[in-house]
Amino acid sequence: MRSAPPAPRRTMDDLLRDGFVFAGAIFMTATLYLVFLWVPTDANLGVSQRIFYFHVPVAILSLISILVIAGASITHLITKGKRSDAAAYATAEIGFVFCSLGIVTGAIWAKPVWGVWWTWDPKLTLTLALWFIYASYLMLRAYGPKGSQGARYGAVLAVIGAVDAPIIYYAAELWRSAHPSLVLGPAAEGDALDPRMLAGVVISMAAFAIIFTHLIIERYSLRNAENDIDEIFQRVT
Amino acid sequence: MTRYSNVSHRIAGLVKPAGVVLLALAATALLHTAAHAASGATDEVVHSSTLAQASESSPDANLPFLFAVYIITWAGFFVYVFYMSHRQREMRREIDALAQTVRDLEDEREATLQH
Repeated sequence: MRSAPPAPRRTMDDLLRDGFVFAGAIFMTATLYLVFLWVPTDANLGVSQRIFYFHVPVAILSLISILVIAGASITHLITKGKRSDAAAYATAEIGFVFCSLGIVTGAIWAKPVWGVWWTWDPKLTLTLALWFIYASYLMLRAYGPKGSQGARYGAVLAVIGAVDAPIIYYAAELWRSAHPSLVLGPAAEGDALDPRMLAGVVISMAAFAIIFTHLIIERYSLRNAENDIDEIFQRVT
Repeated sequence: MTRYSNVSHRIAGLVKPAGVVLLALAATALLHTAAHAASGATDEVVHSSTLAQASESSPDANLPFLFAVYIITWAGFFVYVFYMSHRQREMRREIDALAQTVRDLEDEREATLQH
C-alpha cells in the first residue's frame, strides 16, 4: 500500500500569494459596499457616476503598469536578465487588460454623460494610443524575433511607450478637455470630491491595486515556468 | 496518476476553506442587501446640498441588488483565482522536480561516459 507523499512546506511565497487573494477579497467587498450602499449619489451625473469607482482605479493602474514595464525593460537592457524581461512581459499582459477595461468603462460612463460612446478628446485619444502600445508590445513579443532579440525590441518599445503615461495623466490640464479633472495623484485638486466619494475611490484603488499586483505575480511565475520548461527541452533534445 | 490525484486532493482541501470564507462574505453581503432593500434603501443618498435627493422610483433603490450581483461575481472570481494560484504552484514544484531529474540523468550519463 502506497502512502501519500508528504505535503510541501508552505513557503513565504505561498503565504504572500494567498495573502493577496484574501486581502483582495476583503478590500473588494468593502469597495462594493461603499460604492453601492454608502457613497452619495452625484447631483449632476446620477447613478451612472458610480462607474467612476471602477473606471478611475483601472485607468490609473494601466498608466502605472506602463511605467513598471519601462522600469523592468530598462533593467533588462542593462542586465540582460531573464527575470526582468519576464516581469515586463507579465506586467504588459495585465496592463493591457486594465487599459482595455479603462477604455470600456470610460465609454459606458461617457454615453449617459456626453451622449456619445467615444469622442476624440485628447485624454481619450492618448489612452487609445496607450492601448495600441500595449497591443504592439504583446504582438511584437508573440510574432517578432524570439529569445533575447525579441526581448530587446520589446524593451525599447516599452521605454518609448512609457512617455505616453504622464501625458495622459496631465492631458486634461494641458489641453481643453471634456474629461473630468484629476481626482487622484500629485495634480489632483484637494476639494474635487465629496469626502465620502474620496474614501470610496481610495478603497477601490487599494482593492484594484492588490488584484493587479497579485495577477502580475501569478503571470510572472507562469512566465518563469515557461522559460524553465524551454530550458529543460533544450537540455533534453 | 496517484501523485496527480494526491495533488488534486490537496488543492481541493485548500480551496474549500477559502471558498467557505468568501461565500460567507457573499452571504453576509446578501443578507445586508435584503435588509437594506426591505428598509427602503433611500436614506443613504443625500449628504449635502450638491447631492441628489433620491425617491422610491429612482434607480438608487435598486442599488442593493446590483451590490448583491457584484458580490457574487467577485466571490466567484476570487475562489477561481485562489484555485488557479495553488494549481500553478503545484505545477512549479513539478517543473523543479523535472529539472532536477534531468540534471541527475545528465550527471549519471557523464559519470558512465567517464568510466
